[in-house]
Amino acid sequence: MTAFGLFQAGELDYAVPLTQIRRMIQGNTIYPLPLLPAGVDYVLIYESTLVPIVFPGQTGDRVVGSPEAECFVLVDSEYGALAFATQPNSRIIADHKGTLSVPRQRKSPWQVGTFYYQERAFKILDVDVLAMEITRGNGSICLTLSGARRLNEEEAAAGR
Amino acid sequence: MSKATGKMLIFVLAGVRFVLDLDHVVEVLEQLSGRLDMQHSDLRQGIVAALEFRHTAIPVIDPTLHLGLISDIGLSQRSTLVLRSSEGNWAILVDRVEGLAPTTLFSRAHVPALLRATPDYADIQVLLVEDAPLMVFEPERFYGIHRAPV
Repeated sequence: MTAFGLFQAGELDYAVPLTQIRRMIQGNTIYPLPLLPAGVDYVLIYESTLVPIVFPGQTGDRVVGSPEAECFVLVDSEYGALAFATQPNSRIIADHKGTLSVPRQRKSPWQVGTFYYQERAFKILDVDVLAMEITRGNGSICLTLSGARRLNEEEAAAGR
Repeated sequence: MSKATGKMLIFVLAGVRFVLDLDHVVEVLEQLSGRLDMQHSDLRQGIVAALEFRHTAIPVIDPTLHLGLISDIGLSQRSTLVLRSSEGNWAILVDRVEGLAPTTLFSRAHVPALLRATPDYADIQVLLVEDAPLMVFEPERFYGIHRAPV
């Protein structure tokens, strides 16, 4: 049996396989640092390690210097931990409670598939691909609102 | 970290805290308006002004240009750190100086491969004080023959 963590950030519903979720973090201070790769403006500190934060479903135009207390899901990738911002209404759901769609060919490299649960479509993130894109400075491509919108539009077009 | 003085100077730029080995610091200057000569700037070199310091005009670097930061502090409210180097004194603009701290106060933050893989973080050092990060300011990145281009 597989389970997913289901999250929401901005307009994006997304899912992360439970095996890659280390923990949820709430109330931590986040810090702006210069020269972070595109798509990453803040880090949090977890066990003396800098953890880059990505804000899926939101614009990258966050004002540097205004740390915000939010809820984050800390995930493990092949390149180290990273944190995704999320609203605090996250859930862990076993895959048999919903419908899992994993197309043979991915719509986007960072989207493994879609998990449909209670009439919502949660995009299953490939955390390793996202981390790799961040190391290449491409994090903003897929994690900004426009990227999320594009994903939604592509999915809607594919469903027509 | 500092070997001679055993102290680090903490300063803030655009909301980001930095630490600088006190051994590099000649003097901290405040309220500089009138002493900066903006005519002598060379933005390609990151030099925003010249400062008359001890009867010599020295270059003033604004590190925000190199770091991609935006300071909302007016020039007249910013402080200047005069630094020594093998090429003579030079200065950087900072938003404010927080103070001095012994090197023993800091611990080293782990920078993960995820960030190390990006060119700008390949050899950056970050220290922690009470789980808050401070970037180590390395003067040679900003001025001198090993300076990175702006």
